[in-house]
Amino acid sequence: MKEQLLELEKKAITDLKTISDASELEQFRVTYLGKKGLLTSVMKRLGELPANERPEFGKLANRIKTNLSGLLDELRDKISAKAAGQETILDVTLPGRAPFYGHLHPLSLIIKDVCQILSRMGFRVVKGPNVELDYYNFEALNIPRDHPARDMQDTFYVSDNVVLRTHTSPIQIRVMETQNPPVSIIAPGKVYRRDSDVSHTPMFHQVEGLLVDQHVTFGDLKGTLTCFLNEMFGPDTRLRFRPSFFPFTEPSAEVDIRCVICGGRGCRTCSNTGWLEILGSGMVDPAVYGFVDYDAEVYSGFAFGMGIERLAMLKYGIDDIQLFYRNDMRFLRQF
Amino acid sequence: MKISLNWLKDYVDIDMSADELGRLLTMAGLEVEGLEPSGQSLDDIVAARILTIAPHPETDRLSVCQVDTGAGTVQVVCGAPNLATGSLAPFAAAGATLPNGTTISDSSIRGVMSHGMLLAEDEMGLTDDHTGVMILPPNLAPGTPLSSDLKPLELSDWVFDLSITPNRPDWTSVLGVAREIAAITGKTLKRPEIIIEEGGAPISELARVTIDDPVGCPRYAAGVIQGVELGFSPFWMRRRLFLSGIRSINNIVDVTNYVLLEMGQPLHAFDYDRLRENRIIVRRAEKGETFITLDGETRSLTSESLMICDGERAVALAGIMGGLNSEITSDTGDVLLESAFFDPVTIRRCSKRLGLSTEASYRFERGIDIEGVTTALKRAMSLISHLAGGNIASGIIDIYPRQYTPPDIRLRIDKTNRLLGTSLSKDAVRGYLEALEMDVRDMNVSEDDRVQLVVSPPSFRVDITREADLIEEVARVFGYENIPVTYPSIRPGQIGDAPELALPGQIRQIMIGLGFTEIITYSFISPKSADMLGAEEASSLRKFVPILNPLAIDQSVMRTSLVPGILNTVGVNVAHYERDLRLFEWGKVFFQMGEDLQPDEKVLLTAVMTGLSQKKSWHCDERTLDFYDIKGALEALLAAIGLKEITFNRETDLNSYDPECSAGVSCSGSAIGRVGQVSSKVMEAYGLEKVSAFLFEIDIAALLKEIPATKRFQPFAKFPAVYRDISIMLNREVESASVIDIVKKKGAEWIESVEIFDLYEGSKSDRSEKALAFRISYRSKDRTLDGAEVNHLHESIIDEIRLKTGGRLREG
Repeated sequence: MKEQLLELEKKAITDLKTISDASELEQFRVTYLGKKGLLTSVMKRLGELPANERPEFGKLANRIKTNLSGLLDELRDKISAKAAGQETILDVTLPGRAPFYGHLHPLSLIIKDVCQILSRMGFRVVKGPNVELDYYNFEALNIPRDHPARDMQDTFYVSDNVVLRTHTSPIQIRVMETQNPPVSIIAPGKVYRRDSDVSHTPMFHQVEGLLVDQHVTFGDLKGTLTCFLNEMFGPDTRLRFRPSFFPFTEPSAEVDIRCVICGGRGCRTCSNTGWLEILGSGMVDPAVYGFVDYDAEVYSGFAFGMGIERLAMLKYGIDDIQLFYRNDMRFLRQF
Repeated sequence: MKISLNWLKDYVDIDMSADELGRLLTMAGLEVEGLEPSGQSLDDIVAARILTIAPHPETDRLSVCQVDTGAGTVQVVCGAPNLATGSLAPFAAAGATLPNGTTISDSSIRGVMSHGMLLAEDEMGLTDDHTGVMILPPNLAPGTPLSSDLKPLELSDWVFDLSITPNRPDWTSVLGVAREIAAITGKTLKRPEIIIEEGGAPISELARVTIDDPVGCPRYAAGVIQGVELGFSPFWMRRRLFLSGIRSINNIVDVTNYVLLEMGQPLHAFDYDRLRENRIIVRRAEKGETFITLDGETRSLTSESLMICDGERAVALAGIMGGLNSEITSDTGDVLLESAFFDPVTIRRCSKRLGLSTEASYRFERGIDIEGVTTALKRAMSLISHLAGGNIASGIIDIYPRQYTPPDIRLRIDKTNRLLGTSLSKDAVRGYLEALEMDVRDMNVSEDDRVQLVVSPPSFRVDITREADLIEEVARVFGYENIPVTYPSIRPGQIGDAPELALPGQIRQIMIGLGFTEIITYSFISPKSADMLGAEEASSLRKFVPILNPLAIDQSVMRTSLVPGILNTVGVNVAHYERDLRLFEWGKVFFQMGEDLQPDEKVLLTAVMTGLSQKKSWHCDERTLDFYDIKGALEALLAAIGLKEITFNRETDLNSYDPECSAGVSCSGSAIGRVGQVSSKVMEAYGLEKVSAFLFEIDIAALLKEIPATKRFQPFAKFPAVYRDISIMLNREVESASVIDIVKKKGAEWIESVEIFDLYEGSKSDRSEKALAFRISYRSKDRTLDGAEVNHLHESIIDEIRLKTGGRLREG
C-alpha cells in the first residue's frame, strides 16, 4: 500500500508538469486531492493495515498531501500571473553587468613564466640598475676597452664610464661581488642597444641566469637548460648546443630549439635552418672569477641569458617586434 | 664574411652538399647565417659565336650581330663595346629567364629586330661587371648551355655568409675556414701555390724599411715588382672577389684583396715610383697631422695613429687605408707590396677614433697570424707576376725584431673532465688538439700526480693563451652534443626573492583585476617632455640623464616620469578610436646624480583612465569619468595590498595635474604618490585636447616602507553594533574627512566606522552649502552598548561637528 502511495505521488507530479491553464489545474485538484480523489481513497484504507504500521503510513500520506498542495498553489500563482501578463522571463543571452578587466603585457607574461620555471628549479630572482658602470657592463665581464668584443653590442653612452646596460650580465658581477658561492640567481630586466630597425628595438628585455658552486659542469648547464626549455616550449622540444663566443664564458654555447613554426622543415622564421637561436650560455670564464675574487680552482659555474621579445614572438606567433612598444590595445587585449 | 664554396674546395676536399657543410660549420662554432646559390640558374643561357657585326642604321651606339647559337643563326642588337667577330658570348633567346627574373623577348630596337640578347656578367649575376658582353673561352661549341659544369669557369657556386666571433681572427679567411673543415673532416689542407721567379735587382738596392714604433708594428715585410702591366683581373678572380662582396679595381689591387680574403693577411700595394727616397718608415703621427686617405677624405690624426711614411711624408694610415698620394693608378709601373703585423689595440683605437673600419682594420684589430706575414707577401707577388707580369726583385725585406715564440700552456685532463662533465682519456684529448695543429707534449707527472699535457697552439690561434681556452677547444672538437646531460644539485644560498620583487607580480595582478591593461614604453624620452608636463625650473622632472649618442632626439634622455610614455600611448590608441582606456605602467625613472655617476633609479607605478566610466548599456546610462573613479581604483589597490591610514590632501601645484582636481596621497603621514586629472595644458601638449585623462602615480619604494611586514589576525567583535545616521549642512569648503576626524576623535574607541552615504550639493540657485549624510557604527569591544549612552555620545558628536565646522543638522 505504501508503494501504491509513492506511485501515486510520482504520477501526480508528472501530470502536474503538463498543466497549462486554470481548468486543467482544477481538474487535477479534484482527481488527486478532492474528497473523492485518489489520495483520499488510498488514505481511507488505512484501517486495513496492521496497527503498528498505521502511524508511519499516516505520516507518509500527509507529507504527500502537503507536497502536492504546495506544488498546486505554486502553479496556480504562476498561471494567474501569466494570465495577467506579469510573469518574468529571464533572457540568459543578455550580456551581464561585467566589471572592467585588464591584460598583462605579453613581455610580462613571458618574464613571469621564465622566472616561475627557474625559481622552481632553485634560482633566486634579483635585479640591478639599468644605467650601469662600464666596469660592470664590460670590464669585469672580460670585455676590456679596445677589444673587438665591444663591437658585439652597440652601446648607448651616458658618459665615458656610464652606459645603458647592454645585457643583464652585469648583475652576475654585482651578485658575486656581494655573495660567496653557492650562487644561483636569475635576473630579468630591460637592456639597451643602439640598434633600431624592423627586427630590433633600442630597448628590449633579457633574463640572465647564473649558477656557481663546487663541481658544476657543462653537462649541468645542458641539463638545466634542457629542463627549462622543455617546460617553456613543451616536453618534445628538441634542442642543440653549439659552440659560440661570449667574453665572459668559456666554453660558450649558443642554444637552438627545433623551429616551433615549421617543426624543422625550414621556414622564414628559422631562415630555413630548422633551428631557432634562443639562448646564449657557457661556463663562467675564469677571468670573471678574478674580478669577483672567487677561486677558479675551487668553484665552477655556468651563466645563460635569453631575449624575452624573441621568446614572446615565438610563443605567441608575433611577427613584428615593434608591436611590443606601440602598446596598441588591439594588440594588448589579445594576452 | 662571405666566401665561395668553389674557393674553399681549392684547399680542402669537400665531399658533401653545401647544406651539409653549412650545418657542420655551424656546429663547429662558425655560424652560417646565410647560404645562397650563385650562377646556378643559367639553364636558359648558351654560348653563341658572333659571326658578323654591322652598325645599327639609326644609332652609333648599337651594333647588329648575326650569331650562331648552336641551333641556328639569329640576329641580335647589342650595345657592348667589346664585340668581336668570332668570339663567344653568352646568349639568351626569347623566352629565357635571367637569374634576376627578367624574361627575354623578341623586340624591335630602334627599328631593327633583336631575337634575344648577348649578356654581360652582371646580367647573369656572376660579377658586377657591365663593361661589355662576357667573353667565353674560345673552345666552347656554340649552343653549350652555361649551366653545365663548364671548367674552368666554375659558374655554379654557393656563397656562405659566415658570422665570425671576435675570438677567431683565423677564421676571417678562406684558408682559415678550409683549415677548420680539414680538422673536422680529417682531410688534408692544401696550401695556395706560390711560384716566384726572382729576376730583378736585389731588394736592398730598391727599398729600405725602418720601424720607429716596434710596439705598433712588430713586423713589416715588403717586396718590389717592377714593370707590371695594369689591367683587368681575370674572370675567376673578379668572380670570387664579387662573391665576397669586394669590388674589382685592377689586377694589382685585386691581388691584394684576393690574398687578404684567401689568407687573412691584409696587404697594401704602393706605387713604388711615388715613394720618395724609396723608403718606408713606420711611425706615430704628429699631433695635428692630417692625411688624405685614398677615399679622398682628409683625416686629422693624433699621436695614437700609426703611419706608414716614405722619406718625406705619410703614405698610408697603417693597417686601415692607403693614401691618395701613393695609390696604384693606371700609370703605375713599379709596385712595392707591404705585408705587416700591426698591434691590434693601436689599429682599433685609430679606426674607432676616425670612424673608419676596413677589411684590413677588421683583421688587424682581431689579430692576424704574425708568422704568416711573409707567406702572404710571396703569394701576392706570385699572383701579381702571373697576372700583371713584371720583374720580381730578388729577396724581400722582413723587419721582425722579436721573433714569435708559441706559449706553453699546461692542460690538466682531470680539470678538463671536471669542468665538462666528461671522462675523456689523455689520448683522446691529445688527438682533438693535434687535429687543430697544436703541438701537444706529455708533461712529467706533476707534484700532485695529475696527468698533464703541455700544449703550444699554432701562431694563428691568437685566442688560445690559457688552460680554459684549451678546454673549450677539446669540448668543441669532442662535440657539445656528445657531452652527457646531467642535473646540478642546487644548494640553497639565500632563499626566496626579496619583497620588492614579490610585490610587482601582485600589484600587476591587482591592477588587471581593477580593469587596467599593462603597457611597456621606452625608458628614454624627449628632453622636451619636462616642458610639456609644465615642470618648473627646479623640478626633479628636469634632472635628466642625457644619452651621448641617442638614435633620435625624442629618445635622448632617460625618463624622469612615466607620464609622457603613458600619454603617448593614449594618443596611439585614441587615434584608432580606442577611447575608454585604463592603462598602467610599472617602470623605472632616472634622476641625474652628477656627471659620470649612476643616476638614482626609482620604480614608479603610473595609471591612467580616459573616456567613459561606464558605457551606455541595456541596464544603465553612460557616465563619464571623474576624480572619484581614479581615486577609487587607487584606494582599491592600496587596500588590496594591505595598506591602511591612507589620506588624500588637496594639492594645487603638482606638475602635469589640473590644480582644481588633484591630490597628494600619503600613508601614515608619508607621501607615496599623487592622483588627479591631467591638466588641459599637458593634454594639449600631447595633442590630446579632446580627451580627459585621470592619473595616479605611486612611488613604489615609499609604498614598500608602509606595507606591514606580517599580517596579524584580529578577533571579530563579540558585542552588537548600534547605528546612527546624521545629515549635516556644511559650507562647501569643508572636506568630508574633517567631519569624520571629528567623529572619530570624539567617539574614540566606540566608533567602529563612519560611512558617507549621501551627498547633496545644493540647489542650482544656492551652491554655498552642501549636505553630507553619515552612518556611524558604534560598538564596544567589551560590552553591549545601551541606546541611551549611544544617544548621549551621538548628541555630543553632533555638537562638536557644529562647533568645529559651523555646520547644522539638515532638516527633513
